[in-house]
Amino acid sequence: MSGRHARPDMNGTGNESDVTTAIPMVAGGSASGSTILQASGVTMQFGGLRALNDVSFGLSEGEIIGLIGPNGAGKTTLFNCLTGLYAPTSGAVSLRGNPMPQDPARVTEQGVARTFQNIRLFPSMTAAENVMVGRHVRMKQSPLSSLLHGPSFRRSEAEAAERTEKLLAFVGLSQFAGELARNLPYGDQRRLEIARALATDPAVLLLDEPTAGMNAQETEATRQLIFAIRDLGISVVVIEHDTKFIFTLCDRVLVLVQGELLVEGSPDEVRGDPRVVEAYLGAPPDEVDAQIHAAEDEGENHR
Amino acid sequence: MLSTLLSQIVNGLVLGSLIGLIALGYTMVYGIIQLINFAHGEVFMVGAYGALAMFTYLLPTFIQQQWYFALPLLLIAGAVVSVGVAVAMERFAYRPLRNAPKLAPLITSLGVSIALQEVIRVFYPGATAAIPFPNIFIPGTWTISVGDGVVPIKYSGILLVVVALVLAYALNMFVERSRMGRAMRATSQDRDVARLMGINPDRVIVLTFALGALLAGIGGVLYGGFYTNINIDIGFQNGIFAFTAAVLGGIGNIRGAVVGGLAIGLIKSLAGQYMPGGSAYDYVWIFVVLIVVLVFRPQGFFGETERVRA
Amino acid sequence: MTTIEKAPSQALAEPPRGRLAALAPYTSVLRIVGGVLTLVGAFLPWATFVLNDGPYPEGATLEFFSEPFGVSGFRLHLVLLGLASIVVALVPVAAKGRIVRGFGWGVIAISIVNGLYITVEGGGFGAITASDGTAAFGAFVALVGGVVLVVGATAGGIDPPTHWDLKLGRVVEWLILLVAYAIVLLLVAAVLTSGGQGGAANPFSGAVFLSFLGAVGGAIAGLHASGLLGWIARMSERHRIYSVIVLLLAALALPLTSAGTEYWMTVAANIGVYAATAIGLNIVVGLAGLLDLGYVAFLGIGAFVAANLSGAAASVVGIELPFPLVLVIAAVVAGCFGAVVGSPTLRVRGDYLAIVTLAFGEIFVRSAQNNIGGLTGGSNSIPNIPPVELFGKGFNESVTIGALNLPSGVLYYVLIVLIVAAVMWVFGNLKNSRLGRAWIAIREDEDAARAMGIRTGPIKILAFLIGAMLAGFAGAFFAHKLGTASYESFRFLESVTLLAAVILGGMGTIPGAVLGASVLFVLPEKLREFADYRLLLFGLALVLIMRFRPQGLVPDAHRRAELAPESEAPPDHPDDGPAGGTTVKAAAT
Repeated sequence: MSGRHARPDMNGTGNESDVTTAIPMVAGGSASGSTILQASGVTMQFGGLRALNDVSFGLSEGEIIGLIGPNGAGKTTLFNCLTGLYAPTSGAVSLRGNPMPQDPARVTEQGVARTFQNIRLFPSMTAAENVMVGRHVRMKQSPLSSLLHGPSFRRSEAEAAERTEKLLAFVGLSQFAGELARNLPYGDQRRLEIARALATDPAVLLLDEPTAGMNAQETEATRQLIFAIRDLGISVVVIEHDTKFIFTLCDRVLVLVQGELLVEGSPDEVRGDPRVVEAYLGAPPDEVDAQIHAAEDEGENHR
Repeated sequence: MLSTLLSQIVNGLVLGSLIGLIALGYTMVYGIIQLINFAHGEVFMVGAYGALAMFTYLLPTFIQQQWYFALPLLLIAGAVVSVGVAVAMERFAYRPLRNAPKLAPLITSLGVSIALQEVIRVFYPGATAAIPFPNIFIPGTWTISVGDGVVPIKYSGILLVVVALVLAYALNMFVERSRMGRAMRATSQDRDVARLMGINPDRVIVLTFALGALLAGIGGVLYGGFYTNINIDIGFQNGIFAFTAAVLGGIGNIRGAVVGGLAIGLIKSLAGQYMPGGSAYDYVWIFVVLIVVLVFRPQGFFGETERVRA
Repeated sequence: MTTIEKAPSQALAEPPRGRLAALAPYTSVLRIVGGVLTLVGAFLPWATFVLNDGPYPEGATLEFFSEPFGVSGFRLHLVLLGLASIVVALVPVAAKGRIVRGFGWGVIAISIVNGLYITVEGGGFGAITASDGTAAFGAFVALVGGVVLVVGATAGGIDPPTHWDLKLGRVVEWLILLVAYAIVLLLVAAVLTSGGQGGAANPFSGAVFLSFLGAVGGAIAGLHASGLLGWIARMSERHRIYSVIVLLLAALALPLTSAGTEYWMTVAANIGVYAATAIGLNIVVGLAGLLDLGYVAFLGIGAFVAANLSGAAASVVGIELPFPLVLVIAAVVAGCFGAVVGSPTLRVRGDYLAIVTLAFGEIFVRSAQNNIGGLTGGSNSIPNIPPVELFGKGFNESVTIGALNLPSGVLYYVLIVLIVAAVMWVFGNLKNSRLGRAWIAIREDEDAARAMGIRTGPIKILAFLIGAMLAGFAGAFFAHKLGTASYESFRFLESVTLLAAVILGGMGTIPGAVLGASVLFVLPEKLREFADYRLLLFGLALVLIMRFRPQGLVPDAHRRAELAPESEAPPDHPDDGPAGGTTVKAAAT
């Protein structure tokens, strides 16, 4: 695959052939594994505002799910519920059949890692240190060992450093290992955030708008990166406004509108689904993308 | 004893009004630039010394002797000195740090606080010890007999309470009704958007400092009148109490600051009377309340809950 | 981003700014003129009178002409800086502008300090100009010389400090480091003792000290610009363990220098106490980013624990335990209180946390003032704490080793050096570990840290606990050294001073905390004659530091970019340049 999939302008609607060439490759991944992450009837209420209403879906092992919907549809809220940042008002999230803990740190320990919509790196740490922090939960190093710097300390540091090196190479940031995160170009910051999340050895990776603000080449590189991550056996959920990116990336697409899960299905199903067109966009299918992007532009400044 | 209780409540209300008056400055400044302005307590203290200086060095004897001449002049002097100091400190110490990391203005405010206190101590004649403050109101005490005892209420205390409440009310009206008040609220919500709306944030921020200082300066004069002497420590102490009050009432909330102030005043006087350790530990109880409030209800009585950002 | 390599040439200087641009062609001339003026200023008389307290130190009066070669003191510094500036202006070296600018500021500092002092002492400008038929324009000429130096240096553009990649054989590098640390030791001793003991008997100590500080500062700035210091710093990084050992030995050798008197040993021990405490605070503030405004309470808790376990008559506990045990107990008790004070961090963030810690600090002081539980002695304090004893030797006694007579206080000094070294070791090890990274991550972005699996609550409390333990450790020493434990040593102002020490030095670094503590606790000793203005100056200094150098004197490589003004933020480039030769890099050292 090359950059031709990526769309340099906001107006173009994706043409069919691009999508269909992409799909087989996606389908080549193992989208048929057992369910690893399950959301059942997740509802989130903020005062009078119902941000999420009875959202249920399952994520299989090795699957890439796309989550789309206009701004304010509750996508990030859903992520926050999945990662323990918010406690759902009702409903439950389970990981491998066990209830999800209500603490982001323990969620990460259990194997769910995430990135943030607005990049949340540790700006004054180097790229390598950022990834090292990601190793935190997997490092066996007690505070006492941190203090004494004995042999076990050196072993765990060496292990973490080695993983860090590999992960930076994996996302293509080796040459920036010693650079402060704040000084990296925007696209590289997003990749570094992914590397940092991968450092926690997740089973599930949640990516919140991983291509926001990226140019065509970077978007394409990110797509390849996500495939590579899936090939490591990690299940991925992606929030993205760029529907073409989603349709060419994901095994399954969820459409969230006003806190409700409107449609769920393969990219083709979702694209052609009249309910999506009607309820979510209120416009003929040809204008789907244009509408989505209009919504996106309007909502750019809102969280 | 009922009379003791009532006396302590009276003391608490007087101190509480004063603290509320100072707390208004904290709450407004924090609301608008999220800065705990430690130097605000010193602004209050400087106002008291400013008024004292005017009384001692400028007023002729016949005016000194008539409180109805002296009071307005002293209030004006205190307010002018406080506002001048606050505006200068905003301009030269805080404004250059507008985009600095958050720690920088906080440390600066500590530095300004120390410097102001020391300026007075070093340069004001006799300020190394407490200085008697002139009488600024009808001298004497109104006593009410309750059961077997009496509840003394100083007239200057009544003045303090009345003035504090009136000023707080006026400030509330100003912020809610006036054009400038609206600009203040807009700026506190989002400075950049306010700027786009044609509001000059720098002017609004200076005005906020000035308004807070105005109240603090008047508070300083009334403090002197009620407690009959002042020293350089009154700023820091009452400043911390006032900040506690502002937090208690919900920072950024004008009504909250007054209610918080009254609560702090009452806690101090009642705890000093009834809690173990007596008045030696009354400060301690205020700080205990502060910690408990910050830990369990950091948004205060009237504040809104903050949502986690992600 | 790639490494920016720059050849050492005038062309890469940053373009001269604004009004100075017009002077660019005359750069070299200006630098030479400035140097000459500095020399002339140094040899001119500085005062038109003989000061009442005897001649102004180092022969700064008219008597100068009677011994024209007796230049010493600040005038010697001026001569050296002036000559150095001229040499740099004439010889082809890299980063000329920056070097000369450093020297120029040194000259300005010396001129202002001495000129101001003579003016104040002499009762007006007549003292440094002309009066009663004598003229003394030394201060003015030197000041102008300094200004011309700075202007001339800036006009030609300011290059980044030179980067030397020179690597030598191990033995040679060891020797160089040995010499460098020996020089550091002598310099520290010289700075510490310069001007002598402050006080009424020695009223000019402050001026001499500040002047010397200005000279040293100017010289260091110049050496830093030349790349020498960065080179030595990288060399010491290569030989870390060796450097640590030599530095420790150098610190222990201080009593053998001119600072080896009882008075300076006491001053140094006090600095050590605050340095150790500041390093502890640095864990909380510098690493974990949690502002603590009541930190000195832990020093106090350590001190009161030690006082109560010392067998002092005034203690209600009345048991006497061996000092090492007391150290441990003091640290543990302070650590427990630290955990309590830190526990609100589970719910409270940012400014509110600062207020909570301030409140705890105030509660401690008020309670100690009221002699809570009879443990603190209240306003009487706990006096007569016996000195530390080991093998029957009191630590307050003088020591004789063979022909060597060391003054009393030396043992305490040695002890505090070891304590500070231990505290540094703790800080350094923790900083470069899983725990340290977690702290820094919390400082940078707490939500993201949690999303990375860091259980922020316990880790933050751990920061408070460990920081408090280090302070408690120092507190136990403090009580014994001082002989009394009084609540007055642990008030809000002391907390602010410690915080200022951490910030002045540079947050998150060890040298920063030590340097900050040294400056803030040596200055008052030296400026006793200005004791009345001490706090005023302190407050103003806080404001000015935040305004002009918020990143501190020795900024952490990490925070440097964060706290530095935008325009000067140096991009951090990976150090992968070719070895050998003096390549100039835009790299931060």
